This record gives sequence, C-alpha cells and structure tokens, in this order.
Amino acid sequence: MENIDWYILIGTLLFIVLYGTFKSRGNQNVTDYLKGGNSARWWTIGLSVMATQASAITFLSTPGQAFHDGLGFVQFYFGLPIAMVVICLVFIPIYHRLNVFTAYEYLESRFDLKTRTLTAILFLIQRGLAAGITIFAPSIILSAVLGWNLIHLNIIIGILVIIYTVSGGTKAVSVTQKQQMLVIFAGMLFAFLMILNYLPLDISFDKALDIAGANGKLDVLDFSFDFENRYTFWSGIIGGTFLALSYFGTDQSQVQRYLSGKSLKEMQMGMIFNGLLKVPMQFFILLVGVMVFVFYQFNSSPLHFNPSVVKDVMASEYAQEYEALSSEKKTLELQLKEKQISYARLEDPASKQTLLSEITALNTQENTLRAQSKELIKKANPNAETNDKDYVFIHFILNNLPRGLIGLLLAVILSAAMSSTASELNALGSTTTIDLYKRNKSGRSEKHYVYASKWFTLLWGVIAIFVACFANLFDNLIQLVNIIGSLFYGNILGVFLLAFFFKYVKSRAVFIAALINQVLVIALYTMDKFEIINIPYLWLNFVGCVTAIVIAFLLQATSGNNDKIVEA
Amino acid sequence: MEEKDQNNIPEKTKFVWSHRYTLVLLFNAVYILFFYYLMKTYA
Repeated sequence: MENIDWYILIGTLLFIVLYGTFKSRGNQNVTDYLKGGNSARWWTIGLSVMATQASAITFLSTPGQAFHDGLGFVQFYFGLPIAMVVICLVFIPIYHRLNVFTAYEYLESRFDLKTRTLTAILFLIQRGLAAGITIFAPSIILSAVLGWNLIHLNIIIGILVIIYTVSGGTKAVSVTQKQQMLVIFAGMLFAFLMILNYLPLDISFDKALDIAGANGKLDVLDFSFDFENRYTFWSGIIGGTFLALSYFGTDQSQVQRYLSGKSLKEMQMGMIFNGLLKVPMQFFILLVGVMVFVFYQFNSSPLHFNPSVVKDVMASEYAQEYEALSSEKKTLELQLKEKQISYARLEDPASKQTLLSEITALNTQENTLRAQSKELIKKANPNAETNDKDYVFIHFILNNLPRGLIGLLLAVILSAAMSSTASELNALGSTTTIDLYKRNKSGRSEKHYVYASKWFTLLWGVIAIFVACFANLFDNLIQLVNIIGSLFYGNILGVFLLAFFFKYVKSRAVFIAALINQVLVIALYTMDKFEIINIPYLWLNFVGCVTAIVIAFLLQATSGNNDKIVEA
Repeated sequence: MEEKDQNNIPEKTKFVWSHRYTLVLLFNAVYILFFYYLMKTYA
C-alpha cells in the first residue's frame, strides 16, 4: 500500500466517525437516542437497512462466490422483496401503532412478559455472537493478505464503531450508514470499471460476458429440487422469504432502522426502497466477481488465493509438489489466454463450439490443479481452511488496482464492517435497556435510561471485540454463527406470526410451544449432523417457523381457553 | 403475578394494500426475467 492509500483509507474512516458523532450530538431522551428522534426519511431508512445487511463479508465473499460458481447465488435474495411487502403490510403498521422501541416489546402487549423476555434473550445470544463475527470476518482476511495484526485490527474496528454508536445512538448509526453506502457504491463501481479497463483491448464487455457464459458463470436460475444444492430458485423464494421475514421483521438490528422513521409512510417507503434495490445490487456485486473471473482468464492468478495457507504449505515437506502444480498452472494459463482471445474474435458458431470444448477442457484441468493444491494444503496443515473464495476479490484489489483506489476499496470493506456492527451494537444496547433493564427497573428519569443505553451499548461493543479476538480459536465459527441464527430465527418468526395472524392462540400455548419447538429444531439439526436425516441448516428457518405455529395450535386446542390466567 | 387480559389483542391495525407493493413485486419479477434472458443469450 502506498501513502495515498493510507490517506484515503484513514481519512474516509475518520471523517465518517467524526461526522456521525457531530451530527448526532445532544440526545435528550430515550426516543432521541434509540429511535433517532423519529426523524429519519425514507431514503435514510432504506440505505440504513441495506448497510446493516451488507457486511464486509458481502463485499469480500460475494465476488469470490461468483468467481467460482457464477451468478446463481443471486437466487438467495429472491424472497427478500416478498418479505419486504409482508413487513410493510403487517409488521410496520403494528409496531408503529403501538409505538414500540423494540420488536419484542410488542410481544408483551400481545402475549405476556415471559414471551417477550424469551425472544429478547434469544436475540441477544444470537446477535451478540454475530456482532463479534462481523468484526472478525474482515479482520482475518485483511490480516492474512496485508500482514496486519489481527487483534489490533479487531480492536481498531470495534473502537471506531463504539465511538459514534455509543455517543450518538440510532441517529449516528443512520447518518454514518448513508456516508458508508456512498463509499461502498462508489468503490464497487470504480472496481467494476477498472476490471473492464484491464481486459485486453479487443475484449469488450459484450465479449467478456460471452467468455463468462462459455465457462458456465452466467447461469442465473436453477429450477431443480435438489435439496443438496443450497442456491436454487425454490430455496430462494421459499427459504429466502422466511429468512428475510425473520431478519427484517423480528431482528432488532433491522427493526430499529425503520422504527426511527418520521412516519408510517416513511418507514414503509424505506423498506420498499430496499425491496427494489437489493436484487439488482447483489446481481451487480456478483457480476463484479464474474468480471474478475474473466480478468483472470487473461492474467496470471495464484493456485490458491489465501496467502497464509500457501505460506504454510511452502514451509512444509509438500513445498516442491506445490511448486510443480503452480508451474503446471502457469503453462495452462498461457494456453487459456490464447484460446480465450481466439474465442472472443471468432464469429463462426461451429468454430466457436470447437474452441469452447478446448477452453472447457483447460478450465477443468485448472480446477483439478486447484483441487490438488487444496489437498496439499490440508496435508501440510489439517486445520487449514481450503475454501479461498473470501480471498479472490481482495487479491484482485491489492495486486491490480491503481494507487488510491486500493485505499478506497479497503475503506469500502471496513465501512461495511462498521455499518453492520454499529446497527448490531445499537440493537443489542436497546434490547438490553428496554426489554430487560427498563422493564424491571421502571420509574427512573429519561436521562437515566439514556445513560443506561450508552453503557449497555459500550458493554456489547467490548463483548463483540472480545468474541472477535477469540474467534480464531474455533474452526468454522462463521458457519457456527449462521447455524445458531438458523436455529433461533424460525422459532422467533413463528412466535411473531402467531401474534399477528392467529388470535385464537394465547400466551401460555405460545410460550410452551416456543420452548418445545426450540428443542425440536436443535434435535433436527443434531440428527442432520449425525446423518440420520438430511436437512440443510438454512431450511431450519422455514421448518422452525411452521413447527412453532403447529405446536402452539395443538397446545391451544388441547388446553382450552386460558384467558385471564393468574399465575402462582 | 397476573397475566394480561388475553382478549386485549391489538386488532385496530388495518392492513392496507398499496400499489407500491404491486410495483415492488412486479419490478423484481422483471429484473429476474431480464437478468435470466440477458445472461442466457451469453450462456
């Protein structure tokens, strides 16, 4: 990295932190601090919701996903617009009418305190862990490729977020997310244009797509019912809708974004904005990854994109074998480049078809070499992570982009990490204050609760940094956090859907059903782990929701009316 | 501890369909078909 990259990176991040702190000073009461004074307009809400969902890993991992597997991942987002409509139609009007601070507060008015407390605690466990991973995930990648100290990076990201989130609350989160989204959009657009610029002169965008298509990277839709395939049209529409409903409708880190809206209409418009932009935005990020793939058809790429595991293998007894694979790949690359240029120039379909078969054969050989390199990495270090998709885009950025733009793209990655973490800490602080602390210690002054919120936000910030610093000790922790999310999300969504749509079901039935269902979902996951059944964990969102509703109905039907129950 | 009245369910909220929701779904259907057919011409 050159000096100019450092200036741009540090300048951008410091500006965002100072701007957020300055713009949100002077919070007088809880509404100001936790709901931004209910002053947010629809575009602020929309950008804030998008910034919360788009973490650093979105910008590091998604292009890498497209590099390896093409555009199919976009199907994962197909359920999101449907969920946005349901949230605008049902969730937001109810939250708005009851003027709640948190989603879980509503559950007390509909059911009872214990249901509210249960869902709030499930949220705190799941989101508290996830906040640490939101910091850790980009830190581990940046430390591997740039040689930065992992612990220092975790602490720096955490402290920057804590400064403005604690001082300014929800308003600081929203105003900084607008700047962060601007940096993110600008950075990704520049990166895309630079890739096109780096392609050989006679390879236009049209021809680049032709090459990507010939290599099977442009298959958008998969209508198969293959349960093993995670990203199909059906898993996107069904699983994606339930996942997005849970995330945007019941996860406080998202609910808090639209609760800060000026009016019901502004809140709904913010979510519509998200529903309109999300699919094209993800498509664009994937397209950037596909263009990186095309770029590497004409330029040399490493056998494995993660430099830290390559270092391990080069220090082992397998170094010579790895070197041999690398030089074999270089020979293949030269042949591939020649054939790709010929393919792009050809007009005759028959000749193109012949050449295409040769290109496919070369790409298959290259994939075999990559697979062999992963085997060597595993032999050299059995604990090494061989999946390198998170490292593809950052490798491209650092090795190919011009001075200045590297700093901007690093600012994109760190901005995305900060924007997601800020929403998470803000929501964790709010839920702890409103659903646990204030609910049990009522009657204090507004100032007292604002201070309490600040202290709880700070505490969750410290916990997140702590989780990030120790995350490295566990294998596949990111996947573990996603699994924990899937274990809880379906159940929580089931409770909310019962509250919204099924007046027949009363509090006791819902509470017991939520407990039984949580055990059931965990049992299903365990059976899948031991290969007794086959249920990918993303489907637990859907299954957990349906079983929560069914169990609650059965319990209600067998227990009769339990209106006005007096507990001992 | 007394539980709240279970008949006190918020039911005043009206769920009103808006043309904006139709547009969101329609636009997304168009995006998906557009991406699909555009990419299919190259695939």
